Amino acid sequence: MLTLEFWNVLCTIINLVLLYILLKKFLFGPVISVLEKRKALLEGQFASASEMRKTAMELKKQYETSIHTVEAESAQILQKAREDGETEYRRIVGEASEKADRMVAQAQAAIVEEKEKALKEMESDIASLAVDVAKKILEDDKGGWF
Amino acid sequence: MKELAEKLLEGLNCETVFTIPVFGGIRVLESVVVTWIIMAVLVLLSVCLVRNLKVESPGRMQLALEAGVSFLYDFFDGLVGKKGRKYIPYLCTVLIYISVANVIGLFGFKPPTKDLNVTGALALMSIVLVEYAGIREKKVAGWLKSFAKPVAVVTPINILELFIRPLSLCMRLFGNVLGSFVIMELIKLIVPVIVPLPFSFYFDIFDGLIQAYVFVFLTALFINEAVEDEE
Repeated sequence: MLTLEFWNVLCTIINLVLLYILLKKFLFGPVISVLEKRKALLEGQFASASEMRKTAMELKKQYETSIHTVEAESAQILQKAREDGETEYRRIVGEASEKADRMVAQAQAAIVEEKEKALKEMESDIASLAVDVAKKILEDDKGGWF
Repeated sequence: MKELAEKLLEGLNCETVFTIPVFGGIRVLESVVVTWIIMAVLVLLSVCLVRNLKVESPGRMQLALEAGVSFLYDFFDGLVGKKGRKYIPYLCTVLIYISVANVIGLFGFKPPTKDLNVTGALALMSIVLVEYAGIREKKVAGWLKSFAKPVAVVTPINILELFIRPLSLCMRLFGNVLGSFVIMELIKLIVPVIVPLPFSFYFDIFDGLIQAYVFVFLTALFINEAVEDEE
């Protein structure tokens, strides 16, 4: 009990060194390596997550700017379309009124022409009628008047 | 009374299990054999526990094992500091070994720590490790100089510490285990039923674990002192 023996101390030291080596190989080594691997994995995941968030933010910004430009563009297009429509409308209305004026003028001219033509016809009719009347009178008068 | 004395002596005596017939016969003590058993159990257990460890989605067993190991590592990490980190596995090993050795009496074995040879070997290894850590960190010149710190007057005391530290480590562990064993035997002699139960909890389990803790705690502190910069 209270005796120190060289061989037994040596045996115990060898035992403990062996136990240390074995436990380090079979217990602490694997567990610590797993813990470190997991830590590395988590860190990698965090890094990739933040990377992804960064790219997502960038994309979002990009989209936002593109949406803004698209909005501006569409407003522009709308404005242009409105203007185009306006000018087209004006043009069409102008053309139509012009055409109507022309048609009215044409119609008036035609009416006047027709009137003149009718008058002329009437004049010639009247003349021929007068001639006829005169002829008739002359014929009737062969026996009486003259 | 005589019976008790005989029983105590028998319990305290570490018997020779067998003799290896070399160098004039090496007597292999019971403590060494029990240490073998402890080693076998610990190694088998760790081989079983460590099998198929997974980095992702660990099982409940693995989580418990990891929690235990990282608890030990964190505990020693705080004690030995950054430079002493490489000695942590040794300290963990000693902690586990002494803990198991102190409570193995519950399983009917004779605790190896009740043998002065074992505690002596442990203390010897501790002081060798402490001084090795100091030499490795400060080189031989720095290590020698560290004996004259903080003032030159304390040099003899520092040199004495080289022997006092392992002696105190060795004797503290040995004395505690021995003392608790003797007290338990006495209590069992006086009241053999029920009463020994709470005492057994204290002396066999609590005291054993506390002593294991104290042993590695002090070793870790010594290592920290040996490796840390004094400037």
